[in-house]
Amino acid sequence: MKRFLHALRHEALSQARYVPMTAVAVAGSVLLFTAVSWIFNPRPPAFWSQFPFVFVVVSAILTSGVYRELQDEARRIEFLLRPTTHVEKTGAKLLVSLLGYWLVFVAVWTVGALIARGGYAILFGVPWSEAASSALINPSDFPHGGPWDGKVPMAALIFSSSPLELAFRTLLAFVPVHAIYFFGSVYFRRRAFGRTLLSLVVWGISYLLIGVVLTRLVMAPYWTAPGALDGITEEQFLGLLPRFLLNPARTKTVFDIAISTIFYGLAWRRLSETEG
Amino acid sequence: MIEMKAVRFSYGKRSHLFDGLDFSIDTGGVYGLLGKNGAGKTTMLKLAAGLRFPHAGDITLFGHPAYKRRPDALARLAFVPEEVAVPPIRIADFATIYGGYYPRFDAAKMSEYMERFEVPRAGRMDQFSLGQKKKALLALAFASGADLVFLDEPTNGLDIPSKQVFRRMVAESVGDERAFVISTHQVRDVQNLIDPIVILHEGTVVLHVGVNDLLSRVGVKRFPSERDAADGGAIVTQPDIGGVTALVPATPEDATESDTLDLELLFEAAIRNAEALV
Repeated sequence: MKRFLHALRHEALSQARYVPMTAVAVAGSVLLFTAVSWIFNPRPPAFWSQFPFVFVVVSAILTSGVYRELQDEARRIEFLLRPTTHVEKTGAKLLVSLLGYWLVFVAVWTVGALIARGGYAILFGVPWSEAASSALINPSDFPHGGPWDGKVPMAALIFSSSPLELAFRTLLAFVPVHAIYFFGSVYFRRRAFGRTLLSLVVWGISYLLIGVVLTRLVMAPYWTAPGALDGITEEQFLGLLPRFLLNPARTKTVFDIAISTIFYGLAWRRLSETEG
Repeated sequence: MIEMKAVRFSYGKRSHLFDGLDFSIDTGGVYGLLGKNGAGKTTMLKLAAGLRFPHAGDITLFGHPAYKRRPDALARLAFVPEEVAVPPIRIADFATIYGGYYPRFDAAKMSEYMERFEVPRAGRMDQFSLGQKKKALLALAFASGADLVFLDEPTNGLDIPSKQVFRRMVAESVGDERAFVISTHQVRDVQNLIDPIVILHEGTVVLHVGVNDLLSRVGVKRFPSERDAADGGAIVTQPDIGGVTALVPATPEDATESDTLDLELLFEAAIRNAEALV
């Protein structure tokens, strides 16, 4: 455990410079875009609404470079011979590139949202409490205890504040995407983001084609004989499917967990097979 | 410490770089790993460290299969590659972070070695010169307390005073339980330092012998001409000002002129006819 914490600290330190800088640069760009949009349409900024898209795209790009030590021979030797297990190396990188990036982005976005709202309040004379309503934790909730009537459990305070709820849901949705780009980073030594994206597109098209062909083969009797589907009700058709597939939310959760587990596992496996 | 048995290895589909390589290190010493360019010195170190995986044969590092790269084995190994890369952090953070992986890391010794190498304390390490980066990594390797230290071309990029400091540090640090493996073709830099000598040629270790053992069998002698050297039983010769220097078999009747070995002559002899040396 001590060794893992040391590896985690090492990983956090090695990314401490450029991840916050990237987050600030991206948030600054969104702020600038927001300010320019006020020239044409002065309305309260919805700064957090940009968060899911920006976080997923930028974090996927950053995650693609998380194994950059493997790109250079001297750094690869040092990294592979670092006295930690492959699980610890993978775990440290996973935590920093998933939770670490998320925490940095949430912090930067909170400040960005306050600046955007504050700027809007100064320029257009909107009261601060209203301007601050989309900040991470709404200050106006606190004097009267918010919707929890003064008995605010910490978890509810954290996860029920709407921007943070959005950020948390974004994080959950990002996990399978992160797993894929995390694997891409250890698998591809050069241009990992582009290659992973290309692989995903090829993978998607392949599955689509295989699905179409299989469906065509399996359903051939129904398509080749006109009227063969007549009389089959939707209930009868859905009855053929496994029950869990009938609940899309549950199916997606199972799919996300499976994808994440498989790709994180593959990333660990690939690292243990990497030569220096 | 290391055991390599019947190792076979090649890069891609090329002919085998090693085919049946046997080598072991079980005691301390300064192992001088010599060989021509492309002989496989660096690859041999990488195989021993678990950085490369053999296609056949067994390699163990401190009793564990090297390719598994187990942390308890890696904590006893330090590796300074020929091409060095350092993180963009200050030297104090570097010592804390990297030294933290080694249970026997000695921060005071690290500081002492940095001082002896005159490595600057201020500034980020990625802004250091090549020699300064290398010296920082050497200081870490020496201070790590690792039982086995692999140094691949360690003197490349070092200035003359630093080479002297390096030689002194190796001599001070070596012990019965601590081995240094120095892979180099800069034999002058490690002359009088390495013992035993390991010569790698055409995929096999053609010579693995202690210096004293070797000195009892061969020596260096000067002759006026090549013909005289040949008549004197020279194993190998090298032109010199006013004559030739030769490696000759040591005999009780005809004592050689030096109690040190000329590594260049020895290397030449080993790759031409290693059997004459053993």
